[in-house]
Amino acid sequence: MGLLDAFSLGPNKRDTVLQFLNFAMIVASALMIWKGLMVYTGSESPIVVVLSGSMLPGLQRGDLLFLTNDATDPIRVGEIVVFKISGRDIPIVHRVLKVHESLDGTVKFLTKGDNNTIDDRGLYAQGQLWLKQEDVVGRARGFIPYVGMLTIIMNAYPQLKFVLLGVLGLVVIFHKD
Amino acid sequence: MHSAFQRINTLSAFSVSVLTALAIGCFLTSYMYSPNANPEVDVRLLQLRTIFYFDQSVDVAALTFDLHADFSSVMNWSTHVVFIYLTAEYETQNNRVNQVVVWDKILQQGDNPVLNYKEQPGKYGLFDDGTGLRGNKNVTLSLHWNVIPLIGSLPRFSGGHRQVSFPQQDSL
Repeated sequence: MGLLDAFSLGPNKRDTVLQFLNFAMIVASALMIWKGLMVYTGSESPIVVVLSGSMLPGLQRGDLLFLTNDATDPIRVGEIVVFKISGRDIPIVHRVLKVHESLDGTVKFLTKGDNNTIDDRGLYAQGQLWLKQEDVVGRARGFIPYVGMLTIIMNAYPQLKFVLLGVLGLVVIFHKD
Repeated sequence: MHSAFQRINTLSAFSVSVLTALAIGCFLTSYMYSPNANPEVDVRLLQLRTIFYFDQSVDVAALTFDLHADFSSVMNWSTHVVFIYLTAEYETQNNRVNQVVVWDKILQQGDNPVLNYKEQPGKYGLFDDGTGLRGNKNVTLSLHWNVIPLIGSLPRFSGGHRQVSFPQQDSL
């Protein structure tokens, strides 16, 4: 049952091929679910992990948020939105504090973290006073606590990611019923 | 017969199923409680000014409010935090919707769920996007709340709508 056996073209060649196919199926299904969610929710990132404590005590580091991004449903005050700022890699999860929707329907809004004392104008790009619809990654619809801690730990220790993936991969490939 | 790996696998699969069932149960029971807080809001305008703010003239209002609301059934066992906020909503010549939060409060488990405020000043100035507050006859103040549950959806509710009209002149 060594690594070489699995790759050898012996009489159990069919089993080996089947196992690789199983593994490929798992990877493909995960990708399909993620891409399917993207299409369904309209958000480029339908599930995000809260990375900072700026929304405490409501949302804490490691909480998971489910997002949708329906541009026909106008943004209103009090919503939790996830947005991107040019020049910053990591999207921010904050609450909408002010909304102004002009006669032609364009919306501009200002955000603030529940745990911050001031609004987000200091976080925005230089000279930027408002966020627009195109800055929005998604709007929070559902909440699961703690689960995202796993990705935070894996990002803090990248080796762990490879160890975990490696072990999972080996288990799937060499698992015999 | 049963390897250590199989035992761990079975155990973890079972605990995940049980946790999921409990979480769904926790989320569903939140519908047994009324999400209403029946707020009563009363507002007084303290000051209305036009100032120069980020290269344009804008109207700024300061106000105080009285508030009575009972969040005891909103703050049920499946609630983590309730984010409560008072908004001013109005139309102007340039904007069909303006919404500005003037005050907010975070209610946690263990806090007194009955809110009683008299002459409470707003937390944030009521800044307009232009000079649309002056003489605006229909500014609606209302209390909104967003429930953050232990697990589940993030619903928003509102109540206590109070319509006020703003004067044409500066007021002190």
